[in-house]
Amino acid sequence: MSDGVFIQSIEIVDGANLDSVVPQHLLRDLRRADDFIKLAVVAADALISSLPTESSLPEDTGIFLGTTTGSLDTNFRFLDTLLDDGEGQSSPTLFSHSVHNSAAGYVARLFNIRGPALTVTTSSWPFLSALAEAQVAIATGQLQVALVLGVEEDTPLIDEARSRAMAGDEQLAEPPACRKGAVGWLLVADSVTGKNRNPGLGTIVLKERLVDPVDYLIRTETISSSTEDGSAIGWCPDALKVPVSLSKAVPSASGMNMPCLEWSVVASFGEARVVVELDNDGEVTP
Amino acid sequence: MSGDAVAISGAGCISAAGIDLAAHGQALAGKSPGCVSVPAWLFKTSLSFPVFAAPEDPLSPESRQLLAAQNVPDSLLAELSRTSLLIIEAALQALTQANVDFASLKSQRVGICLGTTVGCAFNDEDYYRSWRQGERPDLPPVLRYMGGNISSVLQKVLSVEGPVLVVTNACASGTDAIGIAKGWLETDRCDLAIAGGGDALSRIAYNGFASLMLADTKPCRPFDVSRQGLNLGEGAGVMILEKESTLKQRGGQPLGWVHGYGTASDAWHPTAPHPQGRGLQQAILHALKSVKQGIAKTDIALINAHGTGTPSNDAAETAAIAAVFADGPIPPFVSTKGITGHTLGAAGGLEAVFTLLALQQGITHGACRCNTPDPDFPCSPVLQNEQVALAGRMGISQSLAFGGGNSCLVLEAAS
Repeated sequence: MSDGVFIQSIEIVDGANLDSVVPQHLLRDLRRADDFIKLAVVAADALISSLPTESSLPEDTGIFLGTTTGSLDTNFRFLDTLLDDGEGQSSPTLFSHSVHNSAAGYVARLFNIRGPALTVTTSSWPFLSALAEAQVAIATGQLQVALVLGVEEDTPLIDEARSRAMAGDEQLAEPPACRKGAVGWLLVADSVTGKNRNPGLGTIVLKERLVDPVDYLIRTETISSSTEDGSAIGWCPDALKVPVSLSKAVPSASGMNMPCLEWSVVASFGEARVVVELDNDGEVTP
Repeated sequence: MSGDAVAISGAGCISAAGIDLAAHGQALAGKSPGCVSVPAWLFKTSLSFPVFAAPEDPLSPESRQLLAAQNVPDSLLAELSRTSLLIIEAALQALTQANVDFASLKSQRVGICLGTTVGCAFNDEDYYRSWRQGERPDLPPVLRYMGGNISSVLQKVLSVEGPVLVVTNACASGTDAIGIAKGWLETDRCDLAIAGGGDALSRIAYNGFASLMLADTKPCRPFDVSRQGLNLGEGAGVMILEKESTLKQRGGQPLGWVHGYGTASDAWHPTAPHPQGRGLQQAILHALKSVKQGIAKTDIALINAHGTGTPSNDAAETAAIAAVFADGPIPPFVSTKGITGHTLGAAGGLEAVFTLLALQQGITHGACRCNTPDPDFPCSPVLQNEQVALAGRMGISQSLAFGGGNSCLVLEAAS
């Protein structure tokens, strides 16, 4: 019933030059996709590529995607067609792509994943919520593999409003360039991977109480050290700073042969903590 | 993981079918107001697709009194989206029925897991129109959007602490939210959960479904041979979930239980279901398998189907039901969208409540406006003028969604 949750791989996708990072084999499938969908698919493709070549995704594979605003830019492009072309003339493709879970649907279809495909949103750190749901699904034996995705896309309208809100209404700031990106974690049940798995990163186990009204505390019994605070990420959207920071901290700590990583983020609305037992010796720590 | 059953201690709902649980019970028996042209107070449109609209003011006088007693200022309520108000109304009804002491909630871990689609999109057309013309409109619409996560809003209104999450899995969102909340209780992540879904009508979604040619200009006719599409609706359906032992400790009695939850993807098409409903078949089987005490397919006395009235949905759904129950009798199944319209993210919440109500009543009335079932279907629903006495107290509420999502709950009504 209960299983350890092994981090097989972590991927970060910088959306600044997205078209240049879409793999050739996905170009045709993504020709109508918006950037939000492309980010999710590229991250998922990289995660699946990290599996041993003889492995295929088991039937009990799920997708967990967290986002704060979904594909908001596509939402606005659909609105453009409604406002410019009139009622009855708006774009069906843009409408279907503007739905938050369209990206998870693409990932499921392109990689033939027939388990759960869950898209969640919170006002704070939706990737961590997606990670927690995926982690529990594996730990309780419901799934064997989970692709956990955090996808964010800043849009000029929100950026401009945020800029004005921070500077005062009288200041008319120029909208900054749109920023976007994704992170992906591939989680697998220890019982599935055994000793034949690829070299991976470590094990996370959800054991603790909620620390705040918003987010989950994910931790193990063993706490040994802490690293990044989430403040030094340059390129990514604000909403992706937290997942990118965490996604960099885990391999970094693993590379330093640390036995355990404690990572936390604190905001005005609360705190979230993730503890990873790092798998430096190739053996999973129970 | 806790071995405790997940009990339903309260339920609340608001939609075009009525303003509370009693009205929804009556609507199941055929006493529903039906659909109308889009009311001008909702939005103006040149299109002629009817909708199922909830009351203009979603908050009942009783709910406003409750909120005032909790020192929730009217100024806060005035800032909330229509989706949030629908959710608050349904949640307060449910908490009242569960006989929950509001003060005691503040010392518990209260999980809030709600599904929505429209409720997490930016729908302020006036702001967007001005902004794209180079103007700098007043910021409140954007600030409302950024702070408008419906679960966080409800948490703020109730002044409670615990996990909050919004599921935005299109039309299966409400079903998934209840299933996730069930998991939170089983893994001891909260003491009480408020779960369900809500969505308000918007001109954007209205035009979106029109553009996909999925809407009908006449009242929808789920499973009928003449069906031509869906009618959009709005509303909210919410359940209060608690571990049965906790509920009994505080002297409460369950209305029923959420025994099972399953979800699976079609991996087939962005908007159309797999023709054989392969994801739905898996979702139903997973949900049945997840029932801890075990369940036979013959224990299922009722299926509340997704039944939108689109040609492809109803065909896929009947195919899936026929396949899953091929080795025995097919349970009676109905769609309730003929009395609420398709309420998108609210549908799973509302229909879970409808399922519980029908199982409590021990009878199901036929699918509204289904008089001649499609002869191409492998199985037929209960028809509009039929009534079927249910052979048990366990049933299924199932949802299909854009993106190929399929989700299913196994519910039981208490005796």
